[in-house]
Amino acid sequence: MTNKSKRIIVVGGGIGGTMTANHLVAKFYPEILKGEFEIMMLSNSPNHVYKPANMYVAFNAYHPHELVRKQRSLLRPEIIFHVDAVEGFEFENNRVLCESGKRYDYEYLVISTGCIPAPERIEGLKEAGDHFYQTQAAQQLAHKLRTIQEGRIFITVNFPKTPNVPHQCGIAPIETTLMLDEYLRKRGVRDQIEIIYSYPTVSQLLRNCLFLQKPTCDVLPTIFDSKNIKYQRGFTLDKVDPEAKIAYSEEGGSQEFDILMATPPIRAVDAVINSGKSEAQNNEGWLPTDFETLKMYGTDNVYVMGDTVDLPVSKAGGSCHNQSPVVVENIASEIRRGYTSAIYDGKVQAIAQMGLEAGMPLWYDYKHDVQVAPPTKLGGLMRKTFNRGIYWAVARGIV
Amino acid sequence: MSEEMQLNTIVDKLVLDTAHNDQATIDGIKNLIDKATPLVQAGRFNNIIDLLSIISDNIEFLDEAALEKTTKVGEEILALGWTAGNAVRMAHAQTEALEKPPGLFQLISSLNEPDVRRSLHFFISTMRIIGRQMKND
Repeated sequence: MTNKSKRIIVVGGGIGGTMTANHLVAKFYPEILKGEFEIMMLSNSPNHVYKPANMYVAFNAYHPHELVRKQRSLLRPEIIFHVDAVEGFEFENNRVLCESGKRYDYEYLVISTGCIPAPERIEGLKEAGDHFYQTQAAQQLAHKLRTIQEGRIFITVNFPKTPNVPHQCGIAPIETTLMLDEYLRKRGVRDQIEIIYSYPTVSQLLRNCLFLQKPTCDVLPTIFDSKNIKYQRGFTLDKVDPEAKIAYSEEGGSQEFDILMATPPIRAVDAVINSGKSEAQNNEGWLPTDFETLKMYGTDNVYVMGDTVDLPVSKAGGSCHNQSPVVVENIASEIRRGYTSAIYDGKVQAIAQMGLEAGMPLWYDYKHDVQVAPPTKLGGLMRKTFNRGIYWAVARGIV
Repeated sequence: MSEEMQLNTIVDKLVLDTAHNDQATIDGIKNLIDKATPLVQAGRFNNIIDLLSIISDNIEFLDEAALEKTTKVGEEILALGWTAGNAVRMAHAQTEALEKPPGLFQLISSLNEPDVRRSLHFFISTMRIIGRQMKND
């Protein structure tokens, strides 16, 4: 950084941070050329992993290396990129402290550090449960799904304890349940395996549903019945007995299983939890975020996006895609005009994988629930095209 | 069932179905028919149907394997264009910002910078591979 230049730091090299750093370069190009501003990214890894596609790894539909690119190759060359995990935020001094011991000052800060699956937060879940939110865990699940011949697969979904905050990627449990059904049919063992999908009593603002939005919840029984998938409402996972292979609910129920396919509890990264700014329950670490400007409450120059926010929107790349332009525009507006000018409307879009082949484009925002449309082969092809190619264009800020 | 009976059944169904038996729907369909009539009469609509048929056939033919191949090529071309475009844009800006062109000695000494040497290696490797591909076996 030259003496006169100011720095915008993006913390986190996931999809949210990557597209935002690239957008910032485009937005501040005149200032960057004059040496007035520089954009810096700090990440804990030299690689970028397309995390949502780990669910395909669980069905052996992807090789893990297909989901990885070098982070530098996704960043515009004007971005100063350091592989140096942030260990501490000094908001009062406008400074971050990194693992290497280096400190970096900033004029503006964007926190996009994602979330981490935390199955250890439920007794027995880490030992007995499987999930598809990280590569290694998905590979372990893939081995079990490839070899199971008969028995019961019990699906459990766990929400954060912070009120009205969703679990990771709202539609993922439905997607994987339908993929599981088709995968087992393809293997020819579906008739010998019972699938039971469960959902907790409290799912954000809804009670006793099968999904976190009512219109989808209403159509799910028909879909599940047509595929002989059993479902249970009001099953909030309390603990798991790994020896007996039984899952117990807070409501007093229990379910035996051969495979426990879970959407586990989640938490923010350690540096965010330790920042002291979170008001979330259960030490989950979500940062208090203005739902319109995406600025962190209590600060003037810190923005939060993606999984790290405490907002009721999906913790997914489809949220980042709509939050990123708001964050970039607001920083630019504050610097050039002195006030924020963009408002996030809560929009999230995605193409849900409904079984192994079909796809269903969907979108919603703060005011409107998902409008359910029939899944189609064309939708499935769109999703696969996104997975294989368009995702990387999105990360580069091209789309 | 005779043709007349079939037609009556269709009309009955349309009348019973509230979505179809709606003035706005009827007006809209009538407009569409009016618009399409000259094309149908002149036989020009056939091409559109054939085009839709080809699109539909291709969607049927597309499978995961075909998609994997085409998207891989697409991403490689895009990444190449993006990387090259970024480098050209940044180098262009740096060159424009020069107050005077670098001297010959400066240029030669910059050949010894690690990033420049890495880049030269990239170009030489590219030429070596192209040359190998052009060799008569």
